[in-house]
Amino acid sequence: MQSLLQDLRVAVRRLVKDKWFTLAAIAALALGIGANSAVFTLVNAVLLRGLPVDDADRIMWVMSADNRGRTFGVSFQDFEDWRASSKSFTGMTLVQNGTMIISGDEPLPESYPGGFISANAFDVIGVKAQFGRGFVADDDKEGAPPVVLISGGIWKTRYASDPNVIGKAIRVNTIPATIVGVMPDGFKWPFQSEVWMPMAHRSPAFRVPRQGRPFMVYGRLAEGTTLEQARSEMKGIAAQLSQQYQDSNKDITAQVTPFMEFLIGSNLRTMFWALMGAVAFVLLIACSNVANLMLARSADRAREVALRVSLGATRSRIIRQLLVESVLLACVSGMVGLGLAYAGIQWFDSESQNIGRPYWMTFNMDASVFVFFAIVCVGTGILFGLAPAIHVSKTNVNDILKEGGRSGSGGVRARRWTAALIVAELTLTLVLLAGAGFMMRSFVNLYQLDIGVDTSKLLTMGFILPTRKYTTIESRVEFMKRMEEALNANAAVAGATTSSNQPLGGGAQRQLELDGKPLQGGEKPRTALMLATGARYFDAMGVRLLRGRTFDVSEGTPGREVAVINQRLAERYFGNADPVGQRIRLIEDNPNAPQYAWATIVGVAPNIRQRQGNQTDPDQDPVVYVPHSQNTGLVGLGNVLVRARSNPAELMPVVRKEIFALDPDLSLAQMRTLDESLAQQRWFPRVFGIMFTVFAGIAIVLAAVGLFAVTAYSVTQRIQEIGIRMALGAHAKQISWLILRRGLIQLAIGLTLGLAGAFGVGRLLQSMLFQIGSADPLTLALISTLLIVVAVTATLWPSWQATRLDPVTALRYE
Amino acid sequence: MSAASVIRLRSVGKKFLTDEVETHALSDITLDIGKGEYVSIAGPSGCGKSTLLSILGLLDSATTGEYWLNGQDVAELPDRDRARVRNREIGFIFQSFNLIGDLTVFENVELPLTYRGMPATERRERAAAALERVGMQHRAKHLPSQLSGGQQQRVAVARAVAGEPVMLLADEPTGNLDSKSGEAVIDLLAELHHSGATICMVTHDPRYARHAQRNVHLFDGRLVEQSS
Repeated sequence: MQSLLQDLRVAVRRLVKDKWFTLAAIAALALGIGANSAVFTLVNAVLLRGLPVDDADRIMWVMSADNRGRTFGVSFQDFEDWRASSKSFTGMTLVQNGTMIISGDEPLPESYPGGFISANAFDVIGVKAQFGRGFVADDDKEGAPPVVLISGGIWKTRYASDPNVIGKAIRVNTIPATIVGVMPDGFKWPFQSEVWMPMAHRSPAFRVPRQGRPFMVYGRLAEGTTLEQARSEMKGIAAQLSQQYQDSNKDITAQVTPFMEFLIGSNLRTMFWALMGAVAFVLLIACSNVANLMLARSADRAREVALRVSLGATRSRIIRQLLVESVLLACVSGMVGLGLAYAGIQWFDSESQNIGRPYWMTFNMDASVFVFFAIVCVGTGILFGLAPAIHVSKTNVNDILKEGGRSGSGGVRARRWTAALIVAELTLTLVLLAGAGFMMRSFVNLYQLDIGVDTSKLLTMGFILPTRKYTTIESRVEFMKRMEEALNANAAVAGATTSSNQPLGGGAQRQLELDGKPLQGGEKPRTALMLATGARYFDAMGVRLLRGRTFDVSEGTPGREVAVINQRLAERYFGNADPVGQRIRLIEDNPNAPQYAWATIVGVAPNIRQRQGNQTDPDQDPVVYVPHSQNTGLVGLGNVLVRARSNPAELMPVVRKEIFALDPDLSLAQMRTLDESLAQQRWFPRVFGIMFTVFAGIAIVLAAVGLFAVTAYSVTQRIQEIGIRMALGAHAKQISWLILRRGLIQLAIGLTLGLAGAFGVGRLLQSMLFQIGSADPLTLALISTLLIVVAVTATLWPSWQATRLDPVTALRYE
Repeated sequence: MSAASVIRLRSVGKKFLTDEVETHALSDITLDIGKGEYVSIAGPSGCGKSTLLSILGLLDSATTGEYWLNGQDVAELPDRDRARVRNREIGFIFQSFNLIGDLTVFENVELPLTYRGMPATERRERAAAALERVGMQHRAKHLPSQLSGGQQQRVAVARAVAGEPVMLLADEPTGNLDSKSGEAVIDLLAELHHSGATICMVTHDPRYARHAQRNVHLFDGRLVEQSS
């Protein structure tokens, strides 16, 4: 122990003495360790830490699935049957997320994310109210008095932490209810919910039909039951239901998935592990750099080591001393890196505030992160210190002491190590550049995507018309019509409308039938996205129809069904023929659902993108626009879209006021400009693209510095050789090429290996790329060119310096 | 200028400026070396022997005076031309051999011919002939570190003569050798001289200086005596 402390003291003195080396090494390693600590903190929060509930690994998500492997929600009646028959779960519970509007008390109505849940929902995960009570079985019975649980956040902000909130009468989505409990601070189960009501108070319309599957189900696996056993049992129960209810459950099975696996999804998981790989590469590059610096110093260390050996130090003792020095260096760098990591985590945290991440996904440094950090520091010290330590420890004592201090341990061995490390750096850098290149080009493609409308002054917000208040489709359509009229009457509004989906907000996928054009044998079913909109949709979007007209408020009633189609649909299914006046019919997948009537096409609109498109289908979707009254889906759920005459942000209070005047209980969710909404959709490629780019940027700087340092060092090592060559008649270009050639050979090998790695990265990220191939030649050419330019620049200066040597001085150099 | 002069120096001087102190390394050197002549340059340490040799070898430039090499004024040549002249007209033999450790014996000898842009076949023939001339052909594939000092110097001589230069410049070629190896190298130089080579050798060993036809003595940067 005492000798270890002595090594530590020597190491401290050595690092202080070689301050420039120490500073350079700390800079490189701090970036590497900092990046690793930051990304591990994210990986820990997203993939490793898990749910903040008891025995979280046993919480399972149960979904319906068809025989094509597609998963969807669960019907109320299937859930009841599953719960009654299953022995694999100690508790199974039903959830339906939604917007919960609290009104009827002093502050203005406010909407919160919330949900209807089974009474045992919190018992299953083992969480109790912080005061008041949780739900009991009686709360979830038909006719029970409505009760509500609120989050600690609502209690603090809306009710100013009033301890008398228990028993307070409020309205939730117009349902009169009593607050019976306040959940613990920060608790927003399952995702972001803050208001919970028993499932019994969900509209019966959602609960009755077996073919409607709007609910989510989770449960706790019983003690001693394995996941496979649960899966097998649930499949058996689903198979029975499939036999029993052919109309609604044919080919429907049950899929059991661990909650975290369901939540994270393979794309996010891949992305985070890819990021972890990226920062590991950055650290390896930093280690290579520092190892090279240490190898360069090994000539100086050789005499010291030779002396120690001559005084009786064993080889292992020498290696230990050198490793203590490198581990100490890594630990100091780690402390600096921890600061960088903290800043990076803060940035990521603020960037991901509004993307709907689960409440328990908090990006903080916990014990796991610090253990990881400690392992990385020690591991890094050993990683970059071991090769130079072994190299120096092989010093030939006789040679060194006889030569009076001239390097005997440099030469071919050190050059091989150095060359291998530089090739590794260049390879890893190219792989990182490929990841960054693919992600950033994806983001640019996405950013440049022509949506088809001017998004700058468009305000969007979501709304749900509660079915208890707006009981019929007619009443919901009528309210939306009044809402449109009221908003359009305001002078600050250039155009306002309602729509089931906003631009780039998707749509309902439907099959399409053309009157008089049945499908030919083998022809694929025609499909289109359906949007239910208000009559002034295209005015609000600021687009002019290419042909025909839009529908008016009197249309959409039985016998007067109409549709506007987009240009893509017209071109794909009507070719050169004029579609206006032709008839089409949308087909609902579910044969038991209400079917659409034949509708007459009255206009053709320019393409407005509803989906981003993907690798296989980058073009716009065919779209059919119909009046709300023709929608057979959830009428009364959608978006208000308002085009402002000036600043859309200033319009927000105006819109709130207009809608409050129509219905004081109606809350508007996520009011923001369409640009903000699109920015959120582009969050994934933007943030991960930025992260990859930052890491690739660090990597290329480290690689350039490494290559420069190694080349410059090789010039100092070869000064005498250069002098000899000059004496023999080599001119400047030949000397320059002598130095440059070695760097170029390393670059060529690094490029070859790196490109192989780049293909691998492309394949890994394939599912997350947008309109760019996983081996996109332009990206690969660009990043290769960038690396070549940087690497050649890094070697040019030292090689030019070599030509400036005075041959007489060079010949005398030792 | 005599048509037979390979080297002609006129009032050559060399000043160094170190820490604002002017040092005269060479002053007013006038010297002619004829074709096929064997000249030794002697003098005490610091008298300017090596500086003179560097100027003769175009590794350094004179501050003043004229320098004609093989009939060409080389005093003001740009760097690229100086490299060309060094490569074609001069063969160096150094005290510390100065072979490149990473190259084999054959590659070392071949190196100046490579810089000349000579075709590979001719290059190989010349290198092999040069090695044969110094009796080192059997060591062609060895690395310098595998040879004795005397052998290394013979390889250095082979490298110097491979390009058939007009002048061989030897800077204390026996300085790092034992007496037996030193004698062997001096014999080799004498042999080259007898076969027509022009040699200028710096040495402070009178035993070896005797082999030269003419001895030039330097003192404090000045040429003080020439004896035959």
